[in-house]
Amino acid sequence: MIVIFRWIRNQAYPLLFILLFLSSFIQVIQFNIYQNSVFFNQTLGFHRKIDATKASVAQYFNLSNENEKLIAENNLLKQQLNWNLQSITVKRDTQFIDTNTHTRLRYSYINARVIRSTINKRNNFIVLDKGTEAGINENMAVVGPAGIVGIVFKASKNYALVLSVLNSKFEITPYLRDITLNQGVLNWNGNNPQFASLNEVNRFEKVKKGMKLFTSNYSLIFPAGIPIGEIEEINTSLKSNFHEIVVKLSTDFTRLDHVSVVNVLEQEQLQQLDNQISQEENHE
Amino acid sequence: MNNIFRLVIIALSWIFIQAFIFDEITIAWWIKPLPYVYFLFLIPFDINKYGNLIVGYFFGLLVDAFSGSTGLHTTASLIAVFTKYFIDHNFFNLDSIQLQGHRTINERSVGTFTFYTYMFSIIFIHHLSYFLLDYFDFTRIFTIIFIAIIASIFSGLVIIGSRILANR
Repeated sequence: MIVIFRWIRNQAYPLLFILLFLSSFIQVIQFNIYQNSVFFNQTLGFHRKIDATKASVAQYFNLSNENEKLIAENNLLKQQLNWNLQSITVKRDTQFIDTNTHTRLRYSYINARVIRSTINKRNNFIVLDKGTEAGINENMAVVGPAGIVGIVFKASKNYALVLSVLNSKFEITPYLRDITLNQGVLNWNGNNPQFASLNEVNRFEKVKKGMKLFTSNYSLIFPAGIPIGEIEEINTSLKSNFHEIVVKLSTDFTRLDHVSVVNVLEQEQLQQLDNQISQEENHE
Repeated sequence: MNNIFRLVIIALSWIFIQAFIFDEITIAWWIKPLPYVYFLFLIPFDINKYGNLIVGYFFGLLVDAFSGSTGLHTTASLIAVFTKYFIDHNFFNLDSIQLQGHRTINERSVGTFTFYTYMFSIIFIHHLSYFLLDYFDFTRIFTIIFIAIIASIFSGLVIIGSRILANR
């Protein structure tokens, strides 16, 4: 026993280094530390207040920019309206009734403002100024005026932490409207915050530069038809079965301000169905 | 006591500068300076070696808290502090530097060229460990090294600028 104590006393310096190193390294690899983070709910309340003040000053100078973006979003919404209604209005009369859903609402939107966003890390997060009190919960989609922004990762009473598209954990399957294709995985490679990479699209699919990417209707979180980006570059090698596609993201993450959080109203039903499927799979 | 108080103020101001200026301003995606590391050069070399590690750890933890990352700055600054202590005690004649009346290693105590080589190498070690942990992807080691070199150069320039301002 004395030998052990003596060894510990002699090796205290490297041991302390290893101990501190492990404690910090575990923080790094435990990605979910945000879930239990005391910083997020308590200590950083002070920081969030500074953020909010700072954001309000910056927002004032950005007003003209914001207006332009909102106009652009309006135009986009109009276009989407036409695009969506084309297939439904079969009759000559312009009865704008959605025959599938009988004008049942599927989504409701909660407006929020961004008070903190980073783009210079490998895993970026965004903080919104509204939380569970305004109805924001985990796993809700966040969309900006120009396109997708991220998914709510954690919500406290007054703030919400959003997993940005610029995060290694964010993945989405886009819908290529021009060739009606739901394929591939879009994620960010950590370099330029304007571009993301789209992988696992079959080599024989005829993708072209300039094609637009939207969210697909298979997603349980994102509404269909929200812009993701535009194909910027396609690299195809004979060695691989897949295209390597560079996508220019439609959202400018350096100038995020107004965003909407999407609440899927029938989330519970979808969840129940999902649970049933998994239960049945377990029984077999 | 006065000296410790001064160090705490300097540490806090570098944390704020990092969190509110350098985390927010993006010139280009590949320029990510972390000049807060300069605080580590202001820790006197006659500090207790355990205290040295603990100061580095908690300084990094505070930077992490303010720039919204988990453990990245803590690990990097811990590695930087450990390396700095090792270099201080193996490459420099601390007794003679102390006899000249210096408590930190700076241009006047070891010479300009030696000091800047020493400073840039520790900054590079800090930045490299930071970006290795941030990307956590060894297949992209060349991108990481490239970003670390560029960031070290920019941090170094900011630090030199701040030294000129402070010595004026």
